[in-house]
This record gives sequence, C-alpha cells and structure tokens, in this order.
Amino acid sequence: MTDDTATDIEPTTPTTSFATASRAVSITLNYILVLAIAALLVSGLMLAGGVFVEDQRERVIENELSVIGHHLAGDLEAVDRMVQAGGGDVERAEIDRSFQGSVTGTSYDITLEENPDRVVLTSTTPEVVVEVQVNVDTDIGHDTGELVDGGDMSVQYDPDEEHLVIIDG
Amino acid sequence: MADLMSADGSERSRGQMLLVAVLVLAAAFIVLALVVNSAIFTENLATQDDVAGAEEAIEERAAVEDNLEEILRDANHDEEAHFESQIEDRFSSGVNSYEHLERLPQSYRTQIVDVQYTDSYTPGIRIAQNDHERNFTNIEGETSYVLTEGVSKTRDVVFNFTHIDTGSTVGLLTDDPFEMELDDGDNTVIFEASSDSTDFLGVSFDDDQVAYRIGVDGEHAVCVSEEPSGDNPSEVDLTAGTINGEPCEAFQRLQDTGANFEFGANLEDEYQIEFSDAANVEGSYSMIHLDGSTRDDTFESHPDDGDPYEVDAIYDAYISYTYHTHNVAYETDFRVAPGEVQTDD
Repeated sequence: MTDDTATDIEPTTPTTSFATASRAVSITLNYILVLAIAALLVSGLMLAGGVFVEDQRERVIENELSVIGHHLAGDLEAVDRMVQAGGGDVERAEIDRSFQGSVTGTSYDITLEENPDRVVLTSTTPEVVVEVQVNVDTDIGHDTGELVDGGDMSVQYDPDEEHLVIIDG
Repeated sequence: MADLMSADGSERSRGQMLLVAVLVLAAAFIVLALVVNSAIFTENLATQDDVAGAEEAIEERAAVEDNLEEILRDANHDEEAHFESQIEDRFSSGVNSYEHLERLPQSYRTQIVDVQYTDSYTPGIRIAQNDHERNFTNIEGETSYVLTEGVSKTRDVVFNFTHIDTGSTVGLLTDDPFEMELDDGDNTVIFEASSDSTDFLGVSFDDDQVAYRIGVDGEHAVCVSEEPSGDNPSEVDLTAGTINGEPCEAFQRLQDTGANFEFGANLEDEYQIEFSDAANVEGSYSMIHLDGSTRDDTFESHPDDGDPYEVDAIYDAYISYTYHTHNVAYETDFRVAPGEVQTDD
C-alpha cells in the first residue's frame, strides 16, 4: 500500500438537498402510489357525489308525486261534490287533467285504494311511493285493476258502478 | 427501464386522473341540473289552482234551480191557467226563455250550460184565496172545516194576513186563535195566529203585536211579530219558516226540545188539513199539496170574486242540466219543487 492511493481520494461536499434526493426511491413505486391515491380519492368523490345526486332525485320525485297526488285528490273531492249535489241523478261528472308524463326522468302510475280512501302514486326507477288521502262520500273505485299512467288523465264518476275512478285521458 | 418521468419532471400522468374526475363531476352536475329543474317545476305546479269550473258547475246548478223555482211558482199562480196542461205550457216556455236568455252570458264565461224541461212532472192541487179583505171561511161561510184530506205532501204554504182579531165573540168571531191543523190520525202539526196575549201560556206581547205558534205533536214554540194591517200585511211562510222574509226561530227550531222543525216532516201519508176559527183572520193564502181531495162546497173551481178556490197545479217538475267547460263536464237531472221542505227520507 502506497501513500499515493490514500492521497488520490478527495473528500466530497454534498451538492443535492434532501427534497430532491432520489436515493432509495423507486420511480415505478412512486407512480403507482400516486395513481392509487388519486384513484381512491376520485372514486370516493364519485361515490359520494352519486349518492348525493340519487338522494336528491328521490326527494324531488317524492315532492312531485305529492303535488300531483294532492291535485288529483282535490279533483276527486270536487267530482264527489258534484255527485252529492246531484242527489243520485248524476249521469256524468268528470274533470280532465294534464300533468307531466314523467317526474325527474322516470315514469309513474296511479291507483286508488280504500280503507282509508287514498290516491297512490308510484314511480318506476327509483321506486318511490306516495299516498294522498281523500275525503269523499262517494265510493272509490279501488278494484278496477287498472294502473293509470302519468300524463293526461280524467277523474270521473261511474254512474253504473256508482263510484269514482281515475282513467287515462 | 422505462423512463416514466419526462426529462423536465412534469406531472402529466396525474393530470389525466384529474381530467377523468372532472368529467365525472360535470356529468353529476348535469344530473343535478335536471333534478333542480324538476324541483322548480314542482313548485310551479304546486301553486296552480284547481281546475276552473268544478265549483262553478254546482253554483250554476243552484242558481238555475232557484230561477226555475220562480218560473214554476209563477206558472202555478197564473190566474189564467187553471188546468195542468196550461200550467205545464207556461212552465215549459218559461224554461226555454230562461235557457235562451242565459246562453250569451255563459259563452262569455266559456261555459256551455244547457237546461231542458224533461216533460215530466207530478200533478198537484193548489188551494188559495186572493182577496186580502176576506176571512178564511169556506164558500159556505163555515169557520171550522176540512180543506182537504188524503194529502201526502204540502209545500209553499204562505199566508198574507191583513187582520188578526182574537178575543171578540161578535158575529163569527171567537175568542180562540185561528188554527190550521194537519192531522194523520197519530201525528199533528198545528199553526195558530192570535192577537190575544192570554191565548199562549208564557208568552206576552203588546197590543200592537200578534203571536204565531207552531205545535208539533204537542210541543210548541211561539214567534211574536207586529200586528198586520191592510196597508202592512204580514207574510207568514210556514215551509220556509219566515215572517215577512225574516227567519222565525220558532218555525225553524222548537224551543222546548231544540229539535229542528220541518213542516210536515212528522206526518205519515194521507193526512187532512183543517181550519178552525177561520173568521178571526183576514187576508190571502196559498198552498200546494200532493194527492188529496176536497169536499164539496168548500172551494170554487177557479178564482171568482175573491172566494177561496182550488185549481190544478204542478207539484214538482224534472229538469235536465248540463254544464261543460274545457276541463269539466257535469250532467244531471234535478227536481224543482219550490217551497218544499227537504226531509231526511
């Protein structure tokens, strides 16, 4: 061993900062980690956003069906008053209505139920059910087996069956 | 090894994830816009009124019924019409005139209202006296007599008193109140008119007043009113329960029990109508009854010199009513019987 070898090694001074140090760092792993974290954040955001939108949509559908249901209930009670005023000799009593065919992008249908007398509105997707009670003296035609689609409809008195019905307009 | 980072250290790979996320968020906002739009439409729909025409259909029917009742009343009271056919002709033409008269105003209100007489009516008998200065005796001058018997219903019972005198026994006068009694053998309705405050127990009134008492199966109620005169007659409508157009509490509610009084509601079929002490009052009267027959020498067959008379009448008539607007249709038949008390039957 000569002294010349020891004298060839020169002390080095650090020229890079800790932040830019790339020792013991895998570029691939760095890339994967960033993608994974970003994907998790974005998917979480999308999930929360989707749930929020769906929840708001159901609430708006419920509100719309409730409004339509109350209008129909008012029409049923108005037809009932016409029937009662006629004293049993009514040949025809009807009110025609025109509502939107879908609520917040989904279709809906309408039926009448009794005990208690009520109008039942059901949307297709998502399935939201709204019931609105009516106060009438005339019987409700609840067993017609017909589902009335949203849109143009007519609230009528059936003099043969002596009950109130809702049919497609 | 692949160069996963560009030489200048830019971060385009992370930008692509953000781009995807932003696109998804944009789609979510679009869906939210649809939801908000639906919510706004719902609020607008909620503020809309009910369909116009539903209540108007009923109100118009009531107005038509009121007007046709007046037309029927005028037809029955027409002194030139003594027979059913004549009265029916007058009523039918009255209905047609009314219907034509109402067409133009209804068209302004975007209504189509059709009123037709169905040529169906129930015949009755009208008993009346037109002379305001005559007492209520029959054509034979009897003060107590049966007007008619075998009656099933009575309506439009109206007295126009010009004089009530109770307490004197001069001539035909008696000291008992004038009385009209409806009696089916088990149940009674009594109407009395008196100027003597001692006639009705518990009731006091002044000398310039008279009292009218209603009795239903022994329960009574009294109304006090001003004394009538030739210039100021008192109109007593028993079926409407009014005196000079104002409601009489006694006629509408028996004071003893609080029950509602409905003229003749407690009577079964086939009752008789009788006057007693008929000389004690003067004025005119009219009533229409269903079924029943009068005895001979009670009434004239037509208005003559002010004596009481009986003539044909229409007790009720049937009308076809149709109401249409853009959204409402209402078709019904109804019955016109002015002055008839509606019972629970």
